[in-house]
Amino acid sequence: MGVGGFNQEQQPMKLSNEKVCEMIKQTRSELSDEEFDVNASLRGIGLDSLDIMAVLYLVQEQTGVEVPDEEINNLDTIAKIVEYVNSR
Amino acid sequence: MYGIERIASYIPEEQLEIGPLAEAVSADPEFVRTKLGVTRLPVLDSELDTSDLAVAALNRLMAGDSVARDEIGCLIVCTQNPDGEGLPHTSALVQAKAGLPSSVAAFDISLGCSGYVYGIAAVTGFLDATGMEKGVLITADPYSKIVNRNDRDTALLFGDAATATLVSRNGPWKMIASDFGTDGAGAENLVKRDGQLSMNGRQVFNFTLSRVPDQIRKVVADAELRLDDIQVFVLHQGSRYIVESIGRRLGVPAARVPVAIEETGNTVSSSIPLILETVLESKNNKHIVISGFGVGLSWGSAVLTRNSSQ
Repeated sequence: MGVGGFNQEQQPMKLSNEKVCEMIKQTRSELSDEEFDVNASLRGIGLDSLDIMAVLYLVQEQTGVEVPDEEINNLDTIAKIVEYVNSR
Repeated sequence: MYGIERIASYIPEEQLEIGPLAEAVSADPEFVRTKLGVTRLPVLDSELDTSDLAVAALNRLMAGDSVARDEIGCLIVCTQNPDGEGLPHTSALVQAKAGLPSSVAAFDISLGCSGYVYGIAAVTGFLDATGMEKGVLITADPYSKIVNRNDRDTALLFGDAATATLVSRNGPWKMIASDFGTDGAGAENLVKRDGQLSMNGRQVFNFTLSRVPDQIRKVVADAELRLDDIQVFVLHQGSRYIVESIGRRLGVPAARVPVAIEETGNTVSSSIPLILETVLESKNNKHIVISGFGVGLSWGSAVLTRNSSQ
């Protein structure tokens, strides 16, 4: 287990846009009926800084890919999150 | 078997409104109120020290007829912001200021937001080992001493408060299951540097969600109970967001996971007993979970059960 308890030795899981959309809806249930533009900014679709933190937690937990703090500002769309994780 | 008998608390009268504090760090006050859950932060009078905060809570505990000064066998103060430079231990100063007898065994515990759960286990174990009848656990960790009001990560979150918990041989609320953990590799995410608090909120959030829900499930199972058997989950009030996030992960109704941070902010080791103070009084409650997590990184959870014969 790494710091924060993520198992970084597990086989990384491929991430999809649909999976990240599910994570967003899981984090913000009031957005459950929304269709998200995967290239729109996360702030633009209604997430605040805490929501983004929570979504990235789910990404790390479910894929085993750690997202360093210094990457947070770069990963500001669904598509960029998917691309980052799948390139690890 | 020893148990919690009663809790008293003290919240300083001086309060900082969140609006001006948020403006000072260019934060949205509405975000702070709705997501962090904070509207005002009590602060210790700058002329007073940690021991004064502790004594104020202790005096309220002894204001009733539940305990006399000469009945207190041990006194534990949980703080990481002690009087002066930390030597002597703050509990010794509390003993003198409160007029407790010199027969008292007084010592400090250095823990942050997990401190109440550890502290209850410590005072219970100390009483059991010595055969003493009654002990008091005080939480008093005034972060106003170390918060930089220009630091957006911490300036809007922490408030000052103190609590005093009476533990006795006949105390009705027994700790029937507990679990503890430490991960010093993550210590840098919540530390004091150059006299000021520094926090990596994201990493503390990640640590909490990865450790705490599983630990709560474990202690409930160890107590041979189900989550549905727990009337109230009293979680450390790190922020409204983290409390609600843990509650969702556990899958329990929000009504059973109280959020009580609005008027006090995050009061570190005092946040759990501030809620417990009223929760323990309700006759409808039989099984309660307490869970603290933070500085260390450190975490602890326990099940408290009311002795049905009391």
